[in-house]
Amino acid sequence: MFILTKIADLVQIDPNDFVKDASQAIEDNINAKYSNKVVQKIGLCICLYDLLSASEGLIGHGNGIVNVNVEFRLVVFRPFKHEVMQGRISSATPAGIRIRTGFFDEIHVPANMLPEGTYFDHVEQIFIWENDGSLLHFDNHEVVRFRIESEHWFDQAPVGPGDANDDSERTSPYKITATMDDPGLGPCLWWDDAAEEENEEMED
Amino acid sequence: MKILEAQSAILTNFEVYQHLKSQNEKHAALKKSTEKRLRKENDAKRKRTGKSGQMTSSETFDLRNAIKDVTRRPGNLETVVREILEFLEEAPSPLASKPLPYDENTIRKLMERLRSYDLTKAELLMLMNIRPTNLEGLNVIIQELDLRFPEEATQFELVSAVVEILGTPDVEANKQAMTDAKEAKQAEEAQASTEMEVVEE
Repeated sequence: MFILTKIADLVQIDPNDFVKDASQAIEDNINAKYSNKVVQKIGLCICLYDLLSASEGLIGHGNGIVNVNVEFRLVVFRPFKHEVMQGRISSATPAGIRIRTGFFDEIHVPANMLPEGTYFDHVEQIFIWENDGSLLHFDNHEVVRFRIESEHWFDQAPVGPGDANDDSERTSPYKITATMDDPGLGPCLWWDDAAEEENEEMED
Repeated sequence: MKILEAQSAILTNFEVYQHLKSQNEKHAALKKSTEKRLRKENDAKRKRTGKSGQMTSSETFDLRNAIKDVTRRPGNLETVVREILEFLEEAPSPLASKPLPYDENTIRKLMERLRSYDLTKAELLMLMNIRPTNLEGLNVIIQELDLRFPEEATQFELVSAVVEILGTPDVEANKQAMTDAKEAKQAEEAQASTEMEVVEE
């Protein structure tokens, strides 16, 4: 789910920050720039992991900003293909289910990647899986397991007034498509409960 | 900005959890020591300038701001760290169990114990993160489980190895957490259905 990415960057320390330790100032600067932001084809940056090297501080003409060239590693959220993760269902539409984790809510499970025999209940606005005559519900807020299938990147670079397409909606820069079509995937309650009953039977 | 290495390592949830926790502790310690230092400096300054007694409100304000200048972390960092810790401490996750079932040696132990089964790194990582305690859970994580381990006994061995090293989830706590969110909704539904029945009658 999480990876480390090695990045080289120029950190500019404002004179305001001279009251801090140099390492603390650099760390805060990097975190302010990257934390909770998506870098294209890298992932959602979380925070600084460690500082690998830093140059001398250089001061240019005209202002008091200290420029430091640094190399560091960042903790980044970037699940790999076929990774199994846990999250909660946040909503469902006929097109599919949307899942969120506490910090990332752009995970989509299209309707065709749900188990066979699943249909959308328009009254309750949830998906229901009909399995051997029993109805299993994909309720909202339910904790579910899912497998990552693909990722999609949308560059948020600004477009000029001439190129702007009005029909292009603003989308999130990083979206993940996942599947729940496999035994063991879907709401954790289904599988964990079943196992428990099995155990009880064995004990009996 | 220049990306030197897009992926230099993969971390387990546990490692991320530890990193964030230690960062928080470090920050709390820094806050404490800074406050102490600045208070001392402030006292010395007041003595020098011949002030005594209670600090005026503007003095208190200045001191508090001075402490904040040194210790304030970026807001985006605070948000994402809080959200990730909440996510990792949510019940079905192994990190939600108290006391923490993992320690520094857990990864090594798991690798050694499962070496003979020839699992991939990604599979071991997911075992750590999800901690399956039944065959369905294992089937999800290990691809082509039935082909690679045709005997069910081997599969059970794997599960018991995971349980032995990573521990078992607290079933009651899990259920509680998973049903908490649902209960509110079900109560609502129950009420709605009784109303329906009344209408039908």
